[in-house]
Amino acid sequence: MSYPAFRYTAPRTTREVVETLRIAKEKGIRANVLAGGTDLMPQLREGTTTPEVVVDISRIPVLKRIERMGNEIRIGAMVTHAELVTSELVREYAGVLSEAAKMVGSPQIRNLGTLGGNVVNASPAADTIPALVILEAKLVLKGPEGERILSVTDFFTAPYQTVIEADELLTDIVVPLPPPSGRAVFLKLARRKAVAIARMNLACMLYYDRQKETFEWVRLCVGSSTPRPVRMTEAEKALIGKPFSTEVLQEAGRAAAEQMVQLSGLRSSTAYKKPVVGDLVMRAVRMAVEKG
Amino acid sequence: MEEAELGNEIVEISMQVNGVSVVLRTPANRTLLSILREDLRLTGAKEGCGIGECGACTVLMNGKAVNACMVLAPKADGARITTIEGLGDEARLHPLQEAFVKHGAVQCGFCTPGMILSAKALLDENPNPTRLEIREGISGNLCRCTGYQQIVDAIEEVAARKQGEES
Ligand code: FES
Ligand code: FES
Repeated sequence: MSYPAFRYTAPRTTREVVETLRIAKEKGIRANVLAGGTDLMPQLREGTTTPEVVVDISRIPVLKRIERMGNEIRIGAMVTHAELVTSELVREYAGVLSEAAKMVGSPQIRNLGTLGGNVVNASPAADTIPALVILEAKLVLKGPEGERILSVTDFFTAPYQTVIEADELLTDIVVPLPPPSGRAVFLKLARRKAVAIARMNLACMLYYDRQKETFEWVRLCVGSSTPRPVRMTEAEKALIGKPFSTEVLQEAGRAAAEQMVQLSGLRSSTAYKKPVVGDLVMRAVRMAVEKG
Repeated sequence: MEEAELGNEIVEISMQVNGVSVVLRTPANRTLLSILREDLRLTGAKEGCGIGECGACTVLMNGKAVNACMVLAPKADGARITTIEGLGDEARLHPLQEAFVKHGAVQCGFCTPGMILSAKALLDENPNPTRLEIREGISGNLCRCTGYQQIVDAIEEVAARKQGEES
């Protein structure tokens, strides 16, 4: 089994990658960046992507580091899902990202697939994206003119569509350390546990003040239910300043369902998704509060 | 000079396959699985789905289980690869192979090489897994015949035996 011929290059630095992408763009040559391959390889096989040049970024050491720098953790684009699951730094400061990475595919896929690949491929079902949204992560894109940094929510425009230019490389995912009081939960609904691509997932982080009996802050993001990943701000508002009660939870669930319908319009899956979103939100909030 | 930046259609790959150094030149547009099966005639790894869903093509790359159908061949340059052929042979089976035979964990056999390599990767990392961890460890490997029970039993036995040897 082989694909239509292409040229292959594996640069040793991010600068060389960008230079290669720039030349290809200038000459009108179709170039694809190859990270872990878990998205690109099936596309090559199906012929839905037909590159003339494949730029393999797996030989660049800086793209594989996970580092704490001041109040942030910097995660290289080539860090695999398996590494996110085991990294002490990620588990301690961005646990919800570890939890999300654990849900990705199978052990084999987690060993290959990378965080950067997951982000750039921009599948609405990607497990790591809702986690990055509630962590308020930033993305570092390197291009011929230098770097630009954008918030993860500004990166996506539609399913499988992002603002990345053909001559840009995602180098790092930067996660600001969340307040230590936060409690986080990641939930996923899917037909078969391993390999299933998320039908719906949710990341939630909040701080519930037990003295004051109120939600102090809440961050919620539901995946694969809106055209682009967004915070469920209406549900967040329904919780903040309120006590933990069944009525408040139900109100938040309703608000999330309403916002989902507003953002994605009525589609064939809405009848299924609407009650499920509400339910997921209620479950996640309850679990986060119960974490103490 | 500019053209050189765009790479070549033919690449040279050197890797260790089951402990043997292999160097080959090949078109870049192939998978590790096709190199193993067609060029090296190591046909233990199977092609089921070809898109990362069935695990029949599982091999170890630098000690980690991966789907060989998802690895572009030049990515394996410099890597250590272990296939089922590197575990044991008919005269001296690997403990996992022995346990699979004993527990009837092999029916048609199509999933078996991948299953055993996933099990090996699991036990290398976690020598004493629970049944749940075993299920999770082989969750990327589909079996259409056995119903998995016998496979989990076989892996559990090897783990227990290893534990026994150590204590
Ligand atoms: S053939 Fe590779 S996962 Fe199915
Ligand atoms: S033994 Fe037939 S697929 Fe597993």
